[in-house]
Amino acid sequence: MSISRRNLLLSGLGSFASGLLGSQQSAAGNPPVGGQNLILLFVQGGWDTTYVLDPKPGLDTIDAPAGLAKKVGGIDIFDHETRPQTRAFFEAFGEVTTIVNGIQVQSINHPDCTKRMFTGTASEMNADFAAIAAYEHGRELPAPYLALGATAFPGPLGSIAVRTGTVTQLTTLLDPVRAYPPKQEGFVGFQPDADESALIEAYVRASAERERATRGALGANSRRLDDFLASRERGERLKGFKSAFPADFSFALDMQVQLDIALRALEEGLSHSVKLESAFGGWDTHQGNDQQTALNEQLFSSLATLISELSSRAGKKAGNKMIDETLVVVVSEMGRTPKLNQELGKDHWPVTSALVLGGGLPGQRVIGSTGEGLEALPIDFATGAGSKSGELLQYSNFAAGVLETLGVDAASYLSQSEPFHAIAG
Amino acid sequence: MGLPTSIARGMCLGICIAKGLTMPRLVALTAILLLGSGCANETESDPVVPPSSVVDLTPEQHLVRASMALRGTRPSLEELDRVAESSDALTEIVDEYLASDAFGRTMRRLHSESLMLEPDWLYYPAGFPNVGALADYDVATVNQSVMQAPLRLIESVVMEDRAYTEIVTADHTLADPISSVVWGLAYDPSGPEWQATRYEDGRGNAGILTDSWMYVRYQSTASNANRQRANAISRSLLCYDFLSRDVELDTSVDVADPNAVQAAVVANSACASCHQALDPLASFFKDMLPLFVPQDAPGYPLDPPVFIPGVFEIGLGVEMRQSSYFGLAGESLEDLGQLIADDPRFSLCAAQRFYSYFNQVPLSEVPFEAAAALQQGFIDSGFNAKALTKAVVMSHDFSASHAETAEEAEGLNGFRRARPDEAASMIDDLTGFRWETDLGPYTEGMIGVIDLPRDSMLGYRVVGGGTDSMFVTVDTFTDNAGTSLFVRSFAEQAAGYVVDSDLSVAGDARKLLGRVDAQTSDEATLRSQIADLHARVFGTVVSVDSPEVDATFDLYQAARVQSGDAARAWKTVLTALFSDFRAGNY
Repeated sequence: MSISRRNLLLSGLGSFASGLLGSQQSAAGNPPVGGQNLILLFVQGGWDTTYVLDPKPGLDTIDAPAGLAKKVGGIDIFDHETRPQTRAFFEAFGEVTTIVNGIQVQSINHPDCTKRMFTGTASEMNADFAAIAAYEHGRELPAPYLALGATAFPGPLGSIAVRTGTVTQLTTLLDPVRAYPPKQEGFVGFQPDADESALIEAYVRASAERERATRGALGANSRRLDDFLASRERGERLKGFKSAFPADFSFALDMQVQLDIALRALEEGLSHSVKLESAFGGWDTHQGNDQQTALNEQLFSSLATLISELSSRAGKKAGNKMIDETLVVVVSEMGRTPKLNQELGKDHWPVTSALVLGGGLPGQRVIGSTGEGLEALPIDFATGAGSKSGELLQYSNFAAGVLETLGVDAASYLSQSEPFHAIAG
Repeated sequence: MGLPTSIARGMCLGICIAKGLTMPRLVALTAILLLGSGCANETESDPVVPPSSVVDLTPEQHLVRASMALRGTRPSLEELDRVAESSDALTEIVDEYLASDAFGRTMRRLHSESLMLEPDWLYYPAGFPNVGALADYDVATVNQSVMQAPLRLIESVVMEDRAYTEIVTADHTLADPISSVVWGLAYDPSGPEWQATRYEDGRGNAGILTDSWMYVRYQSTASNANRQRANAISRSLLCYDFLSRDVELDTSVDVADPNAVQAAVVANSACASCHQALDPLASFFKDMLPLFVPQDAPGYPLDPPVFIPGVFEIGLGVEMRQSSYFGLAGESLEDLGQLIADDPRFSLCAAQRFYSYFNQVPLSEVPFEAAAALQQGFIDSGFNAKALTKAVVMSHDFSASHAETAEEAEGLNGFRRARPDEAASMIDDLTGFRWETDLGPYTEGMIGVIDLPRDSMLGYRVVGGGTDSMFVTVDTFTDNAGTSLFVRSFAEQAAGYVVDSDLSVAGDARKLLGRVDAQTSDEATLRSQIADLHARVFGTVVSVDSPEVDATFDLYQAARVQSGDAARAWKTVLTALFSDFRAGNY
């Protein structure tokens, strides 16, 4: 099933009602066991958490938008009539939604915050949690970690990651029919047939094994050869999934296109983790912070499409829906300052929020906490509730908590960070 | 014979750290220790000895690695012969490589990565339209010229053997027919394409520090007050990133009060630890246009210009601190350039970046003792970047092949993976094939010819493992499905191209298939041809009856039987060779 643009942009959420029903039923019957697929949606630029996720009305210390803190779909959000798609999302899917507030990123720089939220560390050389999950649970797949758009940190797990490029130009390598027209007039590149391809492959593999015997028997050299050989097979299998990719480029990396790819990649066994990207940094509202209204509307409209589709499609296990087997994590690398600046924008803030949906987890939860200055407050890591004797939630705890929820031994990757256990419910 | 050099240097540094010295003092003291007679003399008398189980490349393999790293191409057969005759020839050949135009391109690539100056050309912060006086150019070409200007200046400094410090002190900039129009710079159409010119608007001239693209690539706002720009300069040129420091939010600061925040960055210790250095550095840029969206440019030269005296303080009412460089006084961008040039962190950072780039290790993992030794030689050479590069590529770290113990092999990077840019140069050199597409007919001329392996926006630079100067800031040196598809497609295209072109011209004009034609069936001739291919594609000289040639000969014969077509058989062979691990790694 392909998602239509109309479905994504113009519809209300009435058509998603059946999906909601499905998710409620199946989520109740299948508690999380780990190993879920992962969709990581990156809200790039830094969202203003006070618009929806972290209500802060009536405070002199915070310039909040118009709205009312209320329960919608069983979950506390900040609601206003100018954000109908957002309200509709929570009405429909509050049941499977957890809001995580008060995540300390400890930086106010986009690249630094991004790598911290993705990897749980301060180094872009480490793998992000989507890559780790793909490595732990899906390394045998053709494209274990499929990264749409630019941002992803495969770190030392680069061999399992596939980047599609700014305009999804990877698709031009999947099928000669889609290839760029060559500049040289009349030139047609060599296209080996199956027999010739087999000869080439056998030669390349034998050559790599000879290299292993001389220089690649041990350590990092050996791993490089392993990666090389594995990449050959993965590349070939990826070609087999060319229909999952759009035939045309998407200069704007339209969310509709991304959702369609993500769903098919998981459904057809192409990938274990897929990373999507929202709005090309448009959330970085240093001027005109009220753009966050429209951005939230677009985001939650897209999320509604995604969760509805996951809720209506069959999972791998009998009786399951995809939503039971897929954890959706939505992160933005930073928050925005409590007060408006001179240009009615908001600048960077080192405390942010996240959304965790599906994956068999209980919903209707808000965990983590912030104060009247939008600073993170101490919480109990087991429950997520505020606690004076608790600890502040750091980006590393969040990442470790996601890994734990996905059934990965977080200590293997983030040994210094206690997982935020409350995510798993 | 005293302590090994690396241990002695570690002790020098350890003493500084143990005494809890501040960063600028630590750097200065470290530099004194390294520059002074104590540590420096040890460098000369006690060369670093590789661990016992680490095996170096053969001289021929070392030549291949140096050639690929410096030029992106394989060595010539003549160069392989010279090194085979005498390994002493290696150092001469490296000097020749350093003088080549291809090395200039490598310098641009290295600095493009460190300064992050070549983002996708269609989008903000790039996206200059092809309008006005530039209406005859396509958008990609317009933007690439703008983004290349500071890199061309760096290239000229390096290639002309000027002190590397001139990248921040040169009294001129470089411009081509496009960038000169964009920025309103004087340009002589009868001169070279890239020529020296000057900003005459009052900003002064200080190498890349006065290049307008730097301030469009790195923008600011009234509230940010040039801090991003200051940090970009510090991160790129000093390897000191303010934003890598953990920020602990001090909840005692009333963040709701802008005045309180303003006071805190000066007086609150948690805030001031960064801001007392960052903010005065940011003040050097107080006359540069804060924010500009190139897509909105109605014509050229740009109006408003990038340099607007008083734009932050008078125009925007921002209270900027007195400009200073980590406590040292300065007023202008020219002052800033000189202060950076005089800072030992600048030369150390250059050493770290060159080591990192050519050895393909993360910047943070460059061994300090190796960087310090390179820094010393760099200073002694009069900041000659070619000398610095040569020191890197002639070192044991660069020529390491593999280790014979598991423990040492674990951390030894014994292969270098060809970046997409290097792969493109290699294929071009070997075959004459450039993987390009002309999108002009499909975009009404808005987009022209795209160099696919080198372009991140529409091409494969990121898919193939490279960077985009914005989101993908470090190269990928391990293979995955995407890089595999890139290599495979590139190999097929290049093999098809070179076989068709070689078999249609006389022997002397051929690139790779100089010994055969479509009718050749004599085994000896075929084997000679294959041995030539091994030498050219892998840089490996093998005999015609070697196992390597046996394997390739068998491939040719099988492909010939398969298709009954000699041309297809050679295309099959060359696709295999270009896809081979030995072609993509060096």
